[in-house]
Amino acid sequence: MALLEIKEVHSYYGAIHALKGISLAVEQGEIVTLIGANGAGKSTTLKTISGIVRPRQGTVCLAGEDLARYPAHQIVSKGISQVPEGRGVFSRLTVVENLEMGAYIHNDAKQMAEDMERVFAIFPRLKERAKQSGGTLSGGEQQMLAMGRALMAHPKVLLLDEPSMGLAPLLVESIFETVETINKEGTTILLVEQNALMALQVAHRGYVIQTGEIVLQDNAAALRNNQMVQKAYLGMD
Amino acid sequence: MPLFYNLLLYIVLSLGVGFALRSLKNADGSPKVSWYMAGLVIGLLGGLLNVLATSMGLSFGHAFNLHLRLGLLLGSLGTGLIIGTAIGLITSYDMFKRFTLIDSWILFFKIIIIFVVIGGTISSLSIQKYSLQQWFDFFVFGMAQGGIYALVALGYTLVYGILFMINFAHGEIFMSGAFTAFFMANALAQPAVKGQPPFLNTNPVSSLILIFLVAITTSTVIAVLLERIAYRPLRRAPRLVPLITAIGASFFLQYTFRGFYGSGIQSYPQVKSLQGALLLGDVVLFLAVAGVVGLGWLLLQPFYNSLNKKFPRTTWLPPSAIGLILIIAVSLVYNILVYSVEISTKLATPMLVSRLQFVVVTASVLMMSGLYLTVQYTKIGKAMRAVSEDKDVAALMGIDVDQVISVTFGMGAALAGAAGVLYALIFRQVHFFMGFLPGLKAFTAAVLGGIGNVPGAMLGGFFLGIFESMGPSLFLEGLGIPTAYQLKDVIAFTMLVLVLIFRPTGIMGVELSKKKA
Repeated sequence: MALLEIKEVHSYYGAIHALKGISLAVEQGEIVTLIGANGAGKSTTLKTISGIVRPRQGTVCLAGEDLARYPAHQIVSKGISQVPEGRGVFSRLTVVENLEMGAYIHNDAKQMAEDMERVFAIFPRLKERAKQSGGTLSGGEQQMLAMGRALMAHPKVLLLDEPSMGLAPLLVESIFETVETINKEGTTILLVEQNALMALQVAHRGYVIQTGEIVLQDNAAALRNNQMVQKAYLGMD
Repeated sequence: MPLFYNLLLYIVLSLGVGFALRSLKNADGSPKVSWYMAGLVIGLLGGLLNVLATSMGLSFGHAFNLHLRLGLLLGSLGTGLIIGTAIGLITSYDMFKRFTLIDSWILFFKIIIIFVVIGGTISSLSIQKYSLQQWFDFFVFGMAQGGIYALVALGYTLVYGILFMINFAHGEIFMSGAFTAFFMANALAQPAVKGQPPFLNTNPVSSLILIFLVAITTSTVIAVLLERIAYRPLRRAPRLVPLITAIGASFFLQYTFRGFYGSGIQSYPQVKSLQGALLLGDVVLFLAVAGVVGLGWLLLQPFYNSLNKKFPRTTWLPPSAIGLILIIAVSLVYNILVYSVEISTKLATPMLVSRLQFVVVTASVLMMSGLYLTVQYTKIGKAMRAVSEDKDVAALMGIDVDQVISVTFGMGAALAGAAGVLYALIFRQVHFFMGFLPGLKAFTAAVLGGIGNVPGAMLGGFFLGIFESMGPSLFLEGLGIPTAYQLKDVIAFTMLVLVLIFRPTGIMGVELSKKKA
């Protein structure tokens, strides 16, 4: 049984039918990427998993347990952390306070201190900026903060929404390296990206989403060589 | 009429001279005179023209009663210099920047306000109607009143910060606490056995705690219920909807209380031990000691931490014990000082501070600091700040947004309930409509400080309270307005209008992002 399994999910924004029966599965220890164009429903899929958007039909299961009956703030303690699109750093809270918010569901102060050291080890830049408020960080540092904050909750599955958005190419590479590191330390990752090239390099498997439907799924190497993917998302002829 | 002519003089003078000086330019087009020099020139001219006018017997040179103290010529020179310089600096600062028709209209307002405020102050101080003690009383009363406004304003600001809605029923929450606690206070003020002193007088501290508990519980419960029943279902509605609902809820609460408790005015019992006055010297010493202990505490923390780091195995006294030692040491010094102050105050006329008002100010400052520390350093406080920035992301962190909003309403209401009791202790009466005006004033205070900003609400509250208490006698009394104190509400709300014109974001407010506005 897959760790995270979505079956036939339909989601709506008001009257707009955003997801038209999405099914996907993420196995323990994998990096799975969901690629697609603007407005294809990538972010909506993640929001449906984390409970911000409610599915009207279909099931979202984590290790066999249906998440649809929990509100968003309880889904976090089930083991799903999302790094939202646009990072969602609390700009008036300091870096440390942002990280504390990430560990909101845990009450163990000692554990939290250890986790914070772990995050600082992955992102040394955050340690230098510990007392600064989130709004004063650069885009790359905010992305690091958002990822570190999500890790503070000890997620079984980490949902990453467009981690490369608005970052310089060099930074994008280091962010994706960190994604691989986090995955090697045992966190399963579902990655949503417009930068399909990078995403398919780090991911094990991938899904292609178009106007709310999964049109293609395969392992990453095969997707890289798929003609349709090359043409539409990798900019090759 | 002379006042009007005098105002005309300053307007013509500052606009004319300011404009003339502005048009003096160097060859490269930069102005020859800087704005502050222009302001000083206008001030000087104002003084000279005032003297000229008075010596010719014209009504242009109004001396604002300063001539009673300094003689006609010196008096008019003085007022001319002071008012002229202030108006000159303001006008030339505005004029030397980009200057449009709308700017000139606003400038016109500014000139009138400066004229009234400075002229009125000079005049009121010159007639010496009030003694130093009376001015001081105004100030302390303003502080007490301001503390109450600040406590209520915090409720407005907290809710606005998190929901971007103005909870117009907050004044009624303030009323509900004070009104319900009245019955507790009244019961405690009745002697249990005939002829014996009532509990309120024998145990003032524990009875005050009981009264506060009743008030805080009532208002918190009402506010949390109100949020659950009336506001939460409208969370996603357009912003006007919860606003109208809040006004409706305000009427609902007012008339529910009228239905339950009647429309009469109930008079709060007096707390005997809060009557009378303290010596100013004692109060100053108390504040000094509080400051020393507080500062010492702050300074000791890093010292203590570094000691712990250097000698990890030694068990040092905990900081609280060190604090205690500090307090004992300081209180020894305090007693010696008090003794010497008492001797010295017996020689001159001592300044007095009302004991009740002192207690009100202290209590409100303590509660406000408590709230500030809660918002800044506790888990729930940080969650409140997170929710106020982004509710969706906060939910992704595992924060129960609805619960945090309930807690926010509860905290604001607890402060309002406590403020209600303080208000009732000072004004000694409660009725079902008592929340309306203080609520509106506290809202004004919150806007003054910058709505959504916690320190801003505190500052705005004290500012408004002091202004309202000292303003009428300071600005208006000297202008010959007969019952100036009746105009205190005019002053309070004029402040609101002025702040909205000149600094729409409030004293400590920052530009709201598009998302919030």
